[in-house]
Amino acid sequence: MLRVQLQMLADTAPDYTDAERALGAYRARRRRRVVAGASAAAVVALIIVYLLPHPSPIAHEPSWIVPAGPVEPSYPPEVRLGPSPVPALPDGTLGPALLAAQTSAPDQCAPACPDAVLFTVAGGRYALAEGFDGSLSPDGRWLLESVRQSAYVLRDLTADGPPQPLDADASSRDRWQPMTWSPDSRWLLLWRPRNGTLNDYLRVEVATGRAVTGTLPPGEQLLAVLASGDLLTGPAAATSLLRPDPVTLRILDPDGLRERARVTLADTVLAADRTVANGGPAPALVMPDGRSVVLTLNSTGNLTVLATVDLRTGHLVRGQALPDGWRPVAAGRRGVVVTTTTQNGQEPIDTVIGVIEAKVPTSPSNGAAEPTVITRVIRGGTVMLRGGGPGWG
Amino acid sequence: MYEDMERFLGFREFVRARGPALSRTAFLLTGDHQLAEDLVQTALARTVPHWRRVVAGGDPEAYVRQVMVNERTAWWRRRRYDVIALVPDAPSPIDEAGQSIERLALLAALARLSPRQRAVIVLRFYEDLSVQETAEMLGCSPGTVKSTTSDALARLRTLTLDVPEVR
Repeated sequence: MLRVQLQMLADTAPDYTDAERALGAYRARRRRRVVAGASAAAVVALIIVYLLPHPSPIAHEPSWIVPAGPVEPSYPPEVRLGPSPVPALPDGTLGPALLAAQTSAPDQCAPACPDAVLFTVAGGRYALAEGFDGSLSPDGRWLLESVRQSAYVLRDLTADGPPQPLDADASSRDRWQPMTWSPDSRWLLLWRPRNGTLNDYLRVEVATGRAVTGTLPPGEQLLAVLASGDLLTGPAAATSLLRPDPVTLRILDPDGLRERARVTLADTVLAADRTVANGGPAPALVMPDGRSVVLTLNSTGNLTVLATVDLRTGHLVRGQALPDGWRPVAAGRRGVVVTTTTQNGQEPIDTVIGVIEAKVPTSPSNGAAEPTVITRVIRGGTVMLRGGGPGWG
Repeated sequence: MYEDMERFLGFREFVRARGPALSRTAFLLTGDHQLAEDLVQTALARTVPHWRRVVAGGDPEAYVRQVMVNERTAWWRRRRYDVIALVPDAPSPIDEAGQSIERLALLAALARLSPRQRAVIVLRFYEDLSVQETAEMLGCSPGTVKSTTSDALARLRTLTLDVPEVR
């Protein structure tokens, strides 16, 4: 009897099913999960600490540690490379720049989008000359410019007056490549490949244009320039799994290569499967405190790890895994600026076509709340020139 | 789009063929048309991502039914849907057709069962599943199915329904 009653009751139910609705619900959920997952993965992965700090009291600060102070200009959470007309970069004082970005779809503008746009702290947008190449200082004040392979000039965006050429030896665009800036924007380091090595360096004091050139010993490679003007170098073999053990970094006076200090990386920095990915166009990032440097490490499985190392001790301050596709581009206040690019037609973050930027904390929280990871979006941009970064990337 | 066609091959046909049967089960599990629609559509949407694997398993209908049972229990746990108030306490005096009265009485009685008891009744006496099959679907032991069935039937009996003895 119960069976019959249940059957009678069930027969009153119409067909509620709709395959298209179910598929649509699945697709919508997948989109939401991708967006949320990408954002969450970025935030979560960025704050994963794989090792805790190893405090080591330092009695005296070495002379080559020079804090840079607050150097990074602030800017809004979203900048947009819209199709509206953008004036050409004028002469004269503009104030510090935030960043530059190459447009993703120049053919969509009428009459035409500029190749690249420079954004200033004051809110200005200026078209960079076609064929522009260069670099921007961490404080946004200095713009290294070369147009269509012309000689490099340094322009002070906070002052009137003509751009300043680099020293004669430095001005040839096809010889030198900008590599990095010191965190206080005082020094600019350029490099050039020669005979398959990255040993030639050119350090420029940006305020005067005075340059020092030299060649590192074989087996050594450039990593960064410190606020003291000294070079940070490391063994070229550190980029290979056949790296020396332990890995020792050196701090060298670029004028004569006198060694000022050695820093041996603690075992906790370089696990057996990790290699240093810095060198040449991928500099190590010196933090504004002058004490720490952020190395990019690769490990098996294509995992990228940012390792903040105390330059006085070689100890790990903080380690963070980066989500796939993210890369470090510059050091900023309290963190490393990392970016990823989204492209039309791909799905990682399907509502954004542009550059997404986040900031990774570099110091340990010491039990306090984690610093907020700030994400910024450069809509419509595909390649970015970030203050303190080596160049387009 | 091509990937979708490949990935969800046969899903639409399955829904077209088995949708009515799944809808009937959903209605018995919920006792409410709106909730039944939500339940069966939710179960189908949860099945979509695993469709190829579900088909490879050989019995997609059983999979969807199991998702419905689990989902219904999860709703009850979250107290998002409480259908008791939707069902009259007793057959309505204005129902003149005997069948309508019986249906309402059954709905009212089922609404007084726990989700687990209700699922056992639907699976055993509507879907005609064995104790073992019901146990597998509910993720419990056959002994639990037997005792739950016994309790559920006893409860229905107190509500004056003509129900069989427990086997």
